[in-house]
Amino acid sequence: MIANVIVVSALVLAGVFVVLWLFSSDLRRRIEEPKRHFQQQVHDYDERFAANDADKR
Amino acid sequence: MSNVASSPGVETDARVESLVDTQLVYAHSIAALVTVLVSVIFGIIISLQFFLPDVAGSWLSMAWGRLRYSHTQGIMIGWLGNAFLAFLYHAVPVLAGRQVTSARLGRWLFGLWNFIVVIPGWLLVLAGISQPIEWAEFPPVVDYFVIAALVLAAIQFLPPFFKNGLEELYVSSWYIIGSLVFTLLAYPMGNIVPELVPGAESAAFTGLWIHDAVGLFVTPLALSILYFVIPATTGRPVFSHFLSMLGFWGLFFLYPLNGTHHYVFSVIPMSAQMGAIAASALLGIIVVIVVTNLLLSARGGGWLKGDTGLRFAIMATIFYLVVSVQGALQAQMTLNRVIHFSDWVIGHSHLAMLGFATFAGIGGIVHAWQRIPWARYNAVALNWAFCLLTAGVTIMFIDLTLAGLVQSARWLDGSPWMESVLQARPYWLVRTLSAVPITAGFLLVFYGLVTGERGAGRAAIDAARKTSQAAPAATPSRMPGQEPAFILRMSYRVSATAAIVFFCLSVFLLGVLPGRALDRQISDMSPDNVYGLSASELRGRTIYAREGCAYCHTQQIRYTDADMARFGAPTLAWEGQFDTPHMWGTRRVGPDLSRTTGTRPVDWHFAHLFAPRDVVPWSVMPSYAGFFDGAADKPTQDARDLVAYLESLGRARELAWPDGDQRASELYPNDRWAQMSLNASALNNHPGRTRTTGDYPALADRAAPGGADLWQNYCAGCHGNAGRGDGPAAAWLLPKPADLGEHAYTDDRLAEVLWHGITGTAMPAWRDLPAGQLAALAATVRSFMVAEPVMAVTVEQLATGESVYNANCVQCHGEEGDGRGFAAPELAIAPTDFTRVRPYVGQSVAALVNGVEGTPMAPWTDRLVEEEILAVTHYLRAFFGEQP
Repeated sequence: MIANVIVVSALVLAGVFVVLWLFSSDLRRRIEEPKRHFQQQVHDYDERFAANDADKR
Repeated sequence: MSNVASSPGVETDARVESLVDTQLVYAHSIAALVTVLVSVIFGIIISLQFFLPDVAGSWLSMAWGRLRYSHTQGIMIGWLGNAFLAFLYHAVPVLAGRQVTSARLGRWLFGLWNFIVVIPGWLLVLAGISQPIEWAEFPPVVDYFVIAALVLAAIQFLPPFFKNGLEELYVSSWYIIGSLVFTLLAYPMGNIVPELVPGAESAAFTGLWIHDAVGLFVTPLALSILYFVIPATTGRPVFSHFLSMLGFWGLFFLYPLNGTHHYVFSVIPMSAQMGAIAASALLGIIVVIVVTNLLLSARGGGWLKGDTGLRFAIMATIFYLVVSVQGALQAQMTLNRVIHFSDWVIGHSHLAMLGFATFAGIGGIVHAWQRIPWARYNAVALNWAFCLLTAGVTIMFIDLTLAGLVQSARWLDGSPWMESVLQARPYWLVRTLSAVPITAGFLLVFYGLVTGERGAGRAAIDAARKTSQAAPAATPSRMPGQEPAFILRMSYRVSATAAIVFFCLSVFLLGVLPGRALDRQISDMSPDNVYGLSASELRGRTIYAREGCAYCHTQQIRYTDADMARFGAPTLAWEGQFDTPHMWGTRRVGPDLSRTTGTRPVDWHFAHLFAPRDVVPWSVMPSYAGFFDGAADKPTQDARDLVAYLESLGRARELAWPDGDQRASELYPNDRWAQMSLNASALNNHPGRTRTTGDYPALADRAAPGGADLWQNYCAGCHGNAGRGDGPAAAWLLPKPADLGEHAYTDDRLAEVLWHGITGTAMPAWRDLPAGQLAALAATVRSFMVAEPVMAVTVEQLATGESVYNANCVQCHGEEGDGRGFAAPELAIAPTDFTRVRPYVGQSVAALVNGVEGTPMAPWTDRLVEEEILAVTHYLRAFFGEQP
């Protein structure tokens, strides 16, 4: 019984997530957005902040 | 907290300069490397003790169990905890675009983590103050400070994330948030609850914690590093943020539900076990998704030639794949039946903590360190560190996996226990040798971070960039005027709620619910008045816990054919109803001790604790000479208490058996697993346990080769190399081991003693030896017999002897000399059967003059004169039915 609860609920949640992703192009785009945002943050930090720190020191 | 750089834009250089608190990155990195080196030293000493078990001498602070506790807590809290904190001080400001909450709080957290938790934790454990719960060995007083530190960490790192919307959070941020929240939930559950509930219920919660420690603390933070370092270094975004989020939610839903797979085939309700097994299989699928996504993200990164941090991160990803697929497989009953308790599992845990998590931790440290402008950086040393650590961890993992398979094979084929120990020794040697490159690797990581040019990390970043494929230009995160999708925000909220629900579900389904079932079972099956532990036994239990005995000796007989054949009836829930916390154990270097009661005499235990190899020549058990005043027959109160506790193990079930089991069997007629235990053919199947009666097989016609080696392995410790009863342990045993040179035995008697042992003495049974080996040992015994000079015996002497015998000896030794006198059943040690044992004259006279210490045989010099003693000696020797 416990195994069934775990398997079914995990599959349902994953399924809902996948279905939403499949049928909503906007959702797909927005889900992917943080990875580009992250690249920007890292890029900014690496190129500007750290270089600035190095100059100061 | 100040918003110094609102995402993704950049404000003035002066304000962003202090975005990352590089001093705390530095401090935690150094603390991490110092603690890992100390922990590795603990580990090396532990592994050396498999060859030099007496290396700690009577210095209990260096005893195996205490070092083992310190090793694992040092790796998890000292090393990985500091490594993750170092990374968080770099990553959180970068991810959130804001400083962490407070620099001052950071210094308090650093002090708390290292000077109130790690160092005192180690000192207390080494001083003997600990708790015997895996991955929770620091004592409860330290646990409260760990919880306080986790609260501070949550305050320090979580608020920066919540300034932005959920839909903007990158997967690393999710892992950091998830880990900090769930560790805070899981740590008290795993470290405190087992101290409050007994036996199997305690084990159910321990199982949850063992997996939560890895799954909710270590893995999420390690994955946050991988998702950070790989795209940050390659300059390319992760392959799919959708897959990364699918993996994130999958891991947080399923990891907490895995815990009970540490106790498959135990008395914990099978429904909970099956739930954990199903969750483990699902988790394996999720991990494949995560790893695929990470490796696709690393494509084009030129990782072997490129950045050192990236190299560690990708190797961590590969280790993660291997260890997770292995974990999913070994939770399945078919494989679990074989490899559980063996070194296979030790290899698995080393690959998880020393492979996956450690490589991720180093990757995170190196990545952050390269970005400390004033820090030194030695790329050559770090590259060598990578090679050495990869080689060392891989060798250790493969070696321990093979060792586990060898041990399992011996356990399954019913070989004597020592066979598994002997055959594991070469693998243990390789494991110790694998510590050489690992230690050198860690030293080089340290060296690489404190030598080299200041600011050289920056140059390394630039150099690595050249080796990777051109990174696509970063794109703005959000188009002006676009609003976050409501549905995405909601789905994250639902998932976050669901993850909390799943954690609570795991505690309920795998902790509380099985606990209730176990409570019912205990109530139904337990005898009305269970024999509890005396004060001495309770003190002994504390010592057993303190010295980590449960880390080599389990106290749970599993519901498998192999365990039942070797140890006896599987453990029922009520047997541990007073064990708080439980000490079931998850590894067997020595045999299970659930049924110790009545298996060995007390003097054997003392000798075994004082000098294990004097009793069992190839034993790897550490000596506990510190519990004695210089000799095994001079035990301190600690030794007496410990042996009293050992003797209590299994006693309650033995007292209740078989009537109690019969009654319980009628209450649970349809419970297949309960019936397995309740209808077991024997409660205690220990092959060394003596029996006073029963059939025994005759000696085989053909003796196996290698009788002399068998003798050395099993018998010489007590009987001596030449069988004269003068082995190194002989001085401490009462009665003394027999002098086999001055006794003649019939084959039938040798067969009986080898099969049944001699109750009341240290002479165990050897039922686990094959028939050919028993015959070989019997032949070896006969070979020890020295030639006895022929003595003239007169008719008058025999008549006198008969008269003396009938007046004084017949009550115990019987009219026929067969040891079946009417008083014999009342004696703790059966009287000698002279029809099958003939002592030499000197032996017999000595027994009559001095008595036999440790047996009911008293001196007879106050009743018999010298002539009568000699006469009765000749008379009783005449009972012997066979010429030697």
